[in-house]
Amino acid sequence: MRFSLFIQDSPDAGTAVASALGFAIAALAGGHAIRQVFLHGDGVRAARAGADVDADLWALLALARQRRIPLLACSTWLEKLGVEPVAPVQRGSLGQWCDALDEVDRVVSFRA
Amino acid sequence: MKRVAILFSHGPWRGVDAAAGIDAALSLLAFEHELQVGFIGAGVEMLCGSADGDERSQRHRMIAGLRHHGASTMVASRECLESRQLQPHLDGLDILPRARFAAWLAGTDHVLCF
Repeated sequence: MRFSLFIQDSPDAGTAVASALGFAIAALAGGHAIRQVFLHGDGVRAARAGADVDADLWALLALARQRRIPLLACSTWLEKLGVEPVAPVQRGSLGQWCDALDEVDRVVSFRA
Repeated sequence: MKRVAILFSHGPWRGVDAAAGIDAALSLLAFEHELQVGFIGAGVEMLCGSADGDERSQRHRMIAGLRHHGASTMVASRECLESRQLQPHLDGLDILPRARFAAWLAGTDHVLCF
């Protein structure tokens, strides 16, 4: 199956990022594909990852780089929350997320 | 075009969730997906306006607007309304018992919960 992951809460707020990481690892190991990871709402706080990020977020970013999974953060929420994204996170739009819906079998959302 | 359910499960006081859900719903409509909207748990509180003109009433107006913008279906959990003794004020809202609510969700391609 092809999945799109939708992360709605910041790494500080709970287990959304850890759950997304666990799901992504299991899905890829099972031969499934992750088409996109999209950060929305408070989830865009994960986009400002620096050297002090927690281990789960660091691992998710590394996985996205390694498997070339687009990791997009909603530009509207980035501006609203004053977050500047750091690679591999890129600015994205809900339009890009909506476009991807036609190419995936399931969206899986993660929140605290 | 996919049939996408936006499910509101938090009340209007958790502003980020409500705003994020409304953003996503409007984007789905703009990109011509079929939008269906559900209210469960504390999310049913979004169906009741407030006369105060506060954030809660603004959220209620935006939710009501989704129907006019093209949401094909709007449903609420009967049990969740009853447990809170709420009477929703929303045109075109279907109030479903638990089993039918689950069947509605199962008929969609994607579900996003806010």
